[in-house]
Amino acid sequence: MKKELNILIAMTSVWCGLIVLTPVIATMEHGDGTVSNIFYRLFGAVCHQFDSRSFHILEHPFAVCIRCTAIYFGFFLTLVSVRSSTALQTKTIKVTTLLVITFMPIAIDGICSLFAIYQSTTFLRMMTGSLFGTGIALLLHNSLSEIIQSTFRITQQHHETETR
Amino acid sequence: MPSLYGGLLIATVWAVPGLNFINCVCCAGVLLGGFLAVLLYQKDITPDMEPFSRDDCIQLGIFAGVISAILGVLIQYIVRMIFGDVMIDVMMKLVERMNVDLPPEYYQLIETARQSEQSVISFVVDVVVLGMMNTLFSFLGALIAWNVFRPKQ
Repeated sequence: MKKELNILIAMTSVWCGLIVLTPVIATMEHGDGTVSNIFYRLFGAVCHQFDSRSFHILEHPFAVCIRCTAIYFGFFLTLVSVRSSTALQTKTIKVTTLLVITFMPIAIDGICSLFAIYQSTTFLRMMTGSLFGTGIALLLHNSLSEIIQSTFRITQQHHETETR
Repeated sequence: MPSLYGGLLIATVWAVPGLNFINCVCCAGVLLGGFLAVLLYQKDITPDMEPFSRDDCIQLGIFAGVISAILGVLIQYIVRMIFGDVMIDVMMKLVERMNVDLPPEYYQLIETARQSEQSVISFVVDVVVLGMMNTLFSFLGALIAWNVFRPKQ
């Protein structure tokens, strides 16, 4: 599964990289902004992209907000940790417990912040977001690796059939 | 059918003012749609049928995502064509009544949405962009459901 995990990590790093690179591209495009606008629009389908709730590079916001950035980077870093640890790769985790532990904090923080019960902070958004990303990575890394493995197997079989 | 219900849930959460706040938590509404599609599918499996597989879940999630994109954008465009900016007005009234704490950019976003023009090209672009993202997150929601409901070995 290590090869498949490497591919998954590569794909996730491209996603995370685009989040950070989009403001850099926006700066380099000063005025036109075609490429950066495409990326902002793409990521805008999954995030509100509020300027006041996003990290900034070179006076342009990341492609997603702080919470989403923490989710995706939490996901990515967990995959890297799983890749480096055989114990984590084979560990069985109770699904519902994991979902509750990782989803409840972000849900509570989001709802309480939305209804002005308290004002969430950058730190809270990062913590709850990265916890959620970590949980999703621990839950799904095996399934996603298996999908990549079967995709490669199908592609290989198809290629072998064609060369015969 | 399960994919249709999942897609309907995603499209409803996306289009209905108030409900769409759920998507502020990492597209939870979209994840839920994929999850729902698998939940409904596995409920119909009887002991004499083949148990549902991971590939079934993937297909359910992907179809739910595609359906949600088409339905969601279609509903939004049709409502706007017939009723004007009623969804936006309802959203603003809801925000005021619920005492929701939103940053100033939100109101800028609303104004931009009011002024945006609808065309065939914008419809296609919206469907494609939403389709890609909804399919991805719905697929992840379906995978989460697979890990929750997978047949015990």
